Amino acid sequence: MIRVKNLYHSYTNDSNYAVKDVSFEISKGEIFGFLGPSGAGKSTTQKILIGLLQLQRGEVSIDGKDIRNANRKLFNSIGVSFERANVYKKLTGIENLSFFAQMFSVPTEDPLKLLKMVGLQDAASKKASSYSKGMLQRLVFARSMINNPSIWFLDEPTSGLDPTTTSVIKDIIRNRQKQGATVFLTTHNMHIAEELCDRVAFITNGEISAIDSPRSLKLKYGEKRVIVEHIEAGELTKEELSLTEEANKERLSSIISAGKIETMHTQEASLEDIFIKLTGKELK
Amino acid sequence: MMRLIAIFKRDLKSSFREFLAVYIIVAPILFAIGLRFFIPSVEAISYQFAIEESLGNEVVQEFKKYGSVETYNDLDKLKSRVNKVDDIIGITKGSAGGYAVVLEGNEAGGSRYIAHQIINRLQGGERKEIVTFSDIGARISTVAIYGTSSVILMAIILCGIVIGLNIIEEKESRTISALGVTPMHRLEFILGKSLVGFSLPIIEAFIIVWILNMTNINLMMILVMTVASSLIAIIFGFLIGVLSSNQISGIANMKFLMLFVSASFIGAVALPQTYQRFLYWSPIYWSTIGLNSIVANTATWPLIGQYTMWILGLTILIFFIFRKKISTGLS
Repeated sequence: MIRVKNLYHSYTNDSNYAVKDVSFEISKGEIFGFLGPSGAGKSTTQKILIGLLQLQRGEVSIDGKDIRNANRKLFNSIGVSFERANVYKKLTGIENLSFFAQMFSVPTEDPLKLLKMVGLQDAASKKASSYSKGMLQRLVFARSMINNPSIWFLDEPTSGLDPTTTSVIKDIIRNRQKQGATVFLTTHNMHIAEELCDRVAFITNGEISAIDSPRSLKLKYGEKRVIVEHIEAGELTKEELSLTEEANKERLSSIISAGKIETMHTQEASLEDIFIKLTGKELK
Repeated sequence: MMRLIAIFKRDLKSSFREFLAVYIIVAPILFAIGLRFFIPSVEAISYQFAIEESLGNEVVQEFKKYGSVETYNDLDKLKSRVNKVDDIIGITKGSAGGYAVVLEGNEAGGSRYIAHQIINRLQGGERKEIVTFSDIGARISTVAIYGTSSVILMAIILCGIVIGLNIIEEKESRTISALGVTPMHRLEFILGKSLVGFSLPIIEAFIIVWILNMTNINLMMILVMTVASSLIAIIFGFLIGVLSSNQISGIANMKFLMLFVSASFIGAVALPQTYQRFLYWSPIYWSTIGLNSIVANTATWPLIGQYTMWILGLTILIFFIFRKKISTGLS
């Protein structure tokens, strides 16, 4: 569905690349997470894919069409939810969606239905200038569905949302996937990525360091560990032990033999741990 | 076409929800209302005569050459009319035959002499002339001409600025990016935005003409000149939009633009004919002289065609100079 090969981009038109030799493919109906810290090249890549930045070097095709020669009608099947809430503040929520609906030449969704989906039905007739940050984020998310897109670009769709609303947004994304939509999810929220994505790509300094499913990455790079709380010399002691290192395994055996364990939990490596391990950087 | 209309309607809606834009749109109308009080009416700049019917049609026709004539079959009614607030000269039969001039007493100085002069001519007299009649072609006051054309020009330019404010809004809210991921073409965006710059000046121009009681001028010519002049205002609007990052800088750029517009207008009105060629480069100059000639009822279609071609030519030239800037600024 989306194919990117040897993508490069420089804002200064020299060898100082913001994106370097990025290649990946996304299948139809897949949720693909693009993970990286701020300034890693996530937005640059997405902007090239959606045509907001000119393709300088490399190949990009969406739905089998080279974006260099793509007709603007291609956007009838593309939806984009921006990280920054770029809406018309003087228009109401419903006016914003109705206006954008008129930009597409395919049947569009009912604006009120979309606003209800994201919990904005009560604010539908209020000007967007009176919306909170979370409401604006939801409005942008709802707008990205107005043309019922089959290719959906989501840039931090849950940024600034409370846990309940985040859960609603995640459900909508899953439902859309079930209906066949392909999702390109840009985020630095590893929990969202882990829950939603079929595959993720780690990007830092404009380069991709790993692409795989969250489970495979964890199996490949994660270390199985266990956290044990036990009584030793009359005091409660907490220890984190590796299940692969010999010394740690022997220590765990001796704790178990002593029979004074209070709690014991296996500890899986999180996607964030693996990101740090692979890139040496934190996701901020 | 649907997208153009949608962009136009959105811009209009957005503009009417913004105090600054509403003020900019309404300002020319308010100026026209104010100006209405200073423009002398048609009656005030020509003579009015109240003539007793019994003096005959020949007398009435002679007086009509010099002003407007009202006829009365009753002397009291005639006197009552003369007694009203405006200046009107009564003409009746004299007690010893001949004519008598009825005045209120507070008329402008020359009124009675003009009546005497006309009566003298009627009688074929050869008395020493106190007043001589000549016609320099003026049918309307200069206040009315320059006032009307300047307010129409103001409406045209300000509506262009409304486009600029709408583009600034798109840039500030980054909605241009959101539109950039729809099937909308950039040309549709430009044309949709331009519709405000065409439609509002036309509506405002006709309202201004109506407020200023100038409906006797050639309205089709006004339409042509307004549409042609709107083109340059639209380019100015786009330039303000792409050059300004926010409303404050937009207003600063607007002031600079108004300087250029005012200079062109004042130059067209005040400079001697021989120096006017130094203003030929300005499309506002051609708009000004075009509007002035229409309001003064001296315009002809070939002349309007010539002015329109100048405006179009210069506008296209200005567009090509700033084309890249506009295109980049809308990205």
